[in-house]
Amino acid sequence: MEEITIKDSLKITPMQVGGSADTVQLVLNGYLDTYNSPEFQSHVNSLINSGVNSIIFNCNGLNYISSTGIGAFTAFLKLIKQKKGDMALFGLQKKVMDVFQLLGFTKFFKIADDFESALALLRGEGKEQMKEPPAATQVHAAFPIVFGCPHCGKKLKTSKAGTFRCSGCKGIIVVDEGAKIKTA
Amino acid sequence: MKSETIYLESSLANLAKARNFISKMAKACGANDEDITKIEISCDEWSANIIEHSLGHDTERGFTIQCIKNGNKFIIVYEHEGEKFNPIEQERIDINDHFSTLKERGLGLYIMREMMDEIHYEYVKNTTNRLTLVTTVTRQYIHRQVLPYIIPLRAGNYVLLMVIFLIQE
Repeated sequence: MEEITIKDSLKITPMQVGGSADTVQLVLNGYLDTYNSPEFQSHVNSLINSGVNSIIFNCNGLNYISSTGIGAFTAFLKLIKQKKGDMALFGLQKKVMDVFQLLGFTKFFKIADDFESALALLRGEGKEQMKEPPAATQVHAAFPIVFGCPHCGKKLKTSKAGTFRCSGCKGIIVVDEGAKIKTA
Repeated sequence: MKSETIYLESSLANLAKARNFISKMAKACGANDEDITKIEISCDEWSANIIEHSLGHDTERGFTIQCIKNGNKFIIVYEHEGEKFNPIEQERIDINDHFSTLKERGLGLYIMREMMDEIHYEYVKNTTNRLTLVTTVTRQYIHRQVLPYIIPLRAGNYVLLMVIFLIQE
């Protein structure tokens, strides 16, 4: 396993974990988008097909991911599960974590804060990085919301609860603390 | 209204350039980090779509991206010449089905629809595809300059000093 750089945009550094040939940490540096995803996917697929069935992705140096990049991780998950293996990610930068969360993909991946936690997750021992905010903060985390005006259907956005007038039809709309939309 | 435009050749290698341009412009408009991420990922999807499915990686051809700030609206206008390429005509995907079957592609338009406030498509003069993405930015980096003006007013034997603060954003 050698370090490779894909299209001058993503460096992948493999590191063996605990002397085990079937467990690998892949350190990612750069970005992952439609430009380099196919080669990234092909490289990691060949690792899995060569017998590696536990992968920990070190994402500390990954500064951007597009939906295609997340698609690549989804493909690895499918392939590695077929081979009775597993994978985990750790060290996601806020921007990368935001994309996973915005797309709702955090529920499919084992995501940890650091290497030890990721390794523990793979061994079925650890706790995942908090993906959902605590109940007390969930109300605020729902905002900002984008919704259709219940009167005319115009797309509107608000960052807080309250009573508003639609900029299209001037109808009154009430947004409650739970981000539910009602007419006045 | 402020506006800047970039022209990029149809190559996936230019995706990073497109992202850098758009995020720089959004930041200059005062967008917060979450808004910038949403704008960047939505535009990245459309840039990749144009290159892969409309212009076919032909570097002789290209597309323009214009970023416009209009009040608290951040508007991104994509234009490229070619056959009609209307994303809005595509069917909406069932996101629950998409997630449960762990599909790898096809999220692009879903992302754009979810993350932008408005998407408009026009086929201009039967030659040019124009896609307009509009989002409301939540200001974070507000650059304000406060300019005090002192105006003396004479009233009989008295001089009144009127102070006006002009706030320039």
